[in-house]
Amino acid sequence: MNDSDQQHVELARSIARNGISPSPAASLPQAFANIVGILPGKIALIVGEQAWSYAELDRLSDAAATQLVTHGVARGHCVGIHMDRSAEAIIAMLAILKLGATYVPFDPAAPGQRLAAQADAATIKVLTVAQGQPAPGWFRGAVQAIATRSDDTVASRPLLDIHPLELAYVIYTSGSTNEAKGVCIPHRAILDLVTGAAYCGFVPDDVVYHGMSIAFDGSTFEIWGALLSGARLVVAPPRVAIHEICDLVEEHRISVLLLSTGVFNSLGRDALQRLSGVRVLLAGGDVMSPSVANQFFGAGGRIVVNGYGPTEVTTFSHCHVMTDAGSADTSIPIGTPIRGTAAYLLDERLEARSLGAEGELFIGGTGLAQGYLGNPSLTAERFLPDPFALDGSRMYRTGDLAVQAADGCLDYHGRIDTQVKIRGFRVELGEIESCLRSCGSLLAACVIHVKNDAGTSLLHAYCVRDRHGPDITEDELTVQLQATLPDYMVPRRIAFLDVLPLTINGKVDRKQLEAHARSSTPGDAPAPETSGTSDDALGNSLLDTLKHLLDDKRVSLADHFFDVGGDSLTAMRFCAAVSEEHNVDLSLAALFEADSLQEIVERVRGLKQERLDSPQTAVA
Amino acid sequence: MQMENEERYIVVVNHEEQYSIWPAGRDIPSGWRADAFEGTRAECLAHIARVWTDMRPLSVRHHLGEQS
Repeated sequence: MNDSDQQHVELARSIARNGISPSPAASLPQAFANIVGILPGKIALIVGEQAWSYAELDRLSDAAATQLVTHGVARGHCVGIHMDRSAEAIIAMLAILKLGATYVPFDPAAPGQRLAAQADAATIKVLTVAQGQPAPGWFRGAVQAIATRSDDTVASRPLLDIHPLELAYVIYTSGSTNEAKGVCIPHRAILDLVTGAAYCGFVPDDVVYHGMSIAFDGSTFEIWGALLSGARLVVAPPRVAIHEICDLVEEHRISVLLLSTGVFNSLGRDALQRLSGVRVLLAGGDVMSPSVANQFFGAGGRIVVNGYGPTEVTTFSHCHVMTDAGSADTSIPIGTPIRGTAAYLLDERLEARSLGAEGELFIGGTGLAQGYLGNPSLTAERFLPDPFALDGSRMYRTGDLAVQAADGCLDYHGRIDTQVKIRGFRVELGEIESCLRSCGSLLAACVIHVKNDAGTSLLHAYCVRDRHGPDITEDELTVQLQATLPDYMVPRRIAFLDVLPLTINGKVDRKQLEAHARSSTPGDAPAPETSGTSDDALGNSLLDTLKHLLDDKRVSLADHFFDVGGDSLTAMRFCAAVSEEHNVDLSLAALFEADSLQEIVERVRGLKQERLDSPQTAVA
Repeated sequence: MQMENEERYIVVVNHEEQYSIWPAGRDIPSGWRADAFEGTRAECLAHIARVWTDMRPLSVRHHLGEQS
């Protein structure tokens, strides 16, 4: 190694390598058992009006583990969890881990075809469901219902000697092909994320909010951060609006709150005021708004953490901790590596970039996944030898571009490829394109991601029909995509072209299509104004709010919220806007259940009237 | 794209018997050894798909062997 190489190494090291100290426990069950031993009677989990102590969770998960054994579950097996976030899901996770098996969460809202492919890839023979819930139609194996109460005496299970590199969970992410891409996370990576986490520092007095889907690795931070620290985990019901998050935070005195950046960025003044009592507010998944962070500090908030990390590096690899308004100016960095993590900015020849130059972010250390389930070549492609560690360890190629500032913090500079973030979910546009092409009757497809003025992510698909095939329509394609892709990956608009525009290098000219997608809102088409407006001022005001959020001028009061492209993040933003403008709290459930937007208008009208009629108004 | 395809890689393996690829002709990072296969990126990845049949790290395989 010559002098210049040595300097590069020093430079790369200067970015990173925090002290790596071994975690005291080798596995999640061992760390959990330590807590149960010290704080058996402490409340571990709260769902609605119900609570479970650490000892109860331990007993219930022992009982569930014993039931799983009767289905043949053994060490190293993958076991599915087909549940929303719930007490049952937590008990299932503990039970599966206690057997030395690996849990694989499945989002019940995702299309069955997609889940079936994932279950196949993980050779899942046993699926857990919440007691009283039906097994999904696509699953052919054994199904075990998980109970949250049991009077049976259960023999406690012996603690297995689990190696820190055995797998704790597999979480699926979007890949550029139709293949399921299961990220395999070992016990050690989770322990290093949550124990002794300097960016958050979980303590037994903490009350941790659990609002992430268990199929999303943000839940790793919430669940294991709480349960391996002796803290209390409060499980949010499905589909909570921002004011309901605030209610839960106040009711349970939540101290650690993780939000997806999309939700964080849409917090209004009132919500920020109500959340200001939390010890630490974290957000991750997208680019954080400095003005919202500043408003939070203005409202008396104490600590804001901007978290960054691909699923392959176990929730967070980097965090930027802010404690006052001055620390969030024009843009918020993704910060510095967390404990046990090393980070390097490299060029395409895998050589260190100089300070201040843009490079691709590579991450090494103990947070790394083992790889992609059953996919050695993709694993070898993304997990490379770490040339700076000198100990045979690997580094993960993130595909993200970043620059290191003089203070050592990293600034995020976007993606190297066509991966995008939609509602906090990682989406490979290539996966959607590959799905479109497999629909048949299409010669080519290109999917473009744009954000409208309201910051809402929109996907546009440009397709070339096969002249020899049947004339497939936009609606038919949408229906086909909905059968295989989760809602957030289905393009809102599909346009047909004779050919896709190409760059001089012969690649699809994505920039040209992006420009087209930005300019071509459906407002270009003559809007059916008659159905879109009414004499009702409240109706028009709510309609305008929604049109702005959806960037769609065709929305009318007769439409259903989902049919016009509404999704859960839009719903949260809509409810937040209604609360801000009309001072009433519309629940997400009301929004989802309404048959038309007109019904939502009437609902808001009713709530306003109730508020006027209520004698409590004077207090507020 | 053409250029990248023509670039030569070697297959490398570490103490945990985890496989990866590395640009041919460059010093192999400490802790890794060459697996006697050289080719394009795609050829190396295809080779790895054939030989890396048990993706558990060697230390885990040993640990489980001792347990049983």
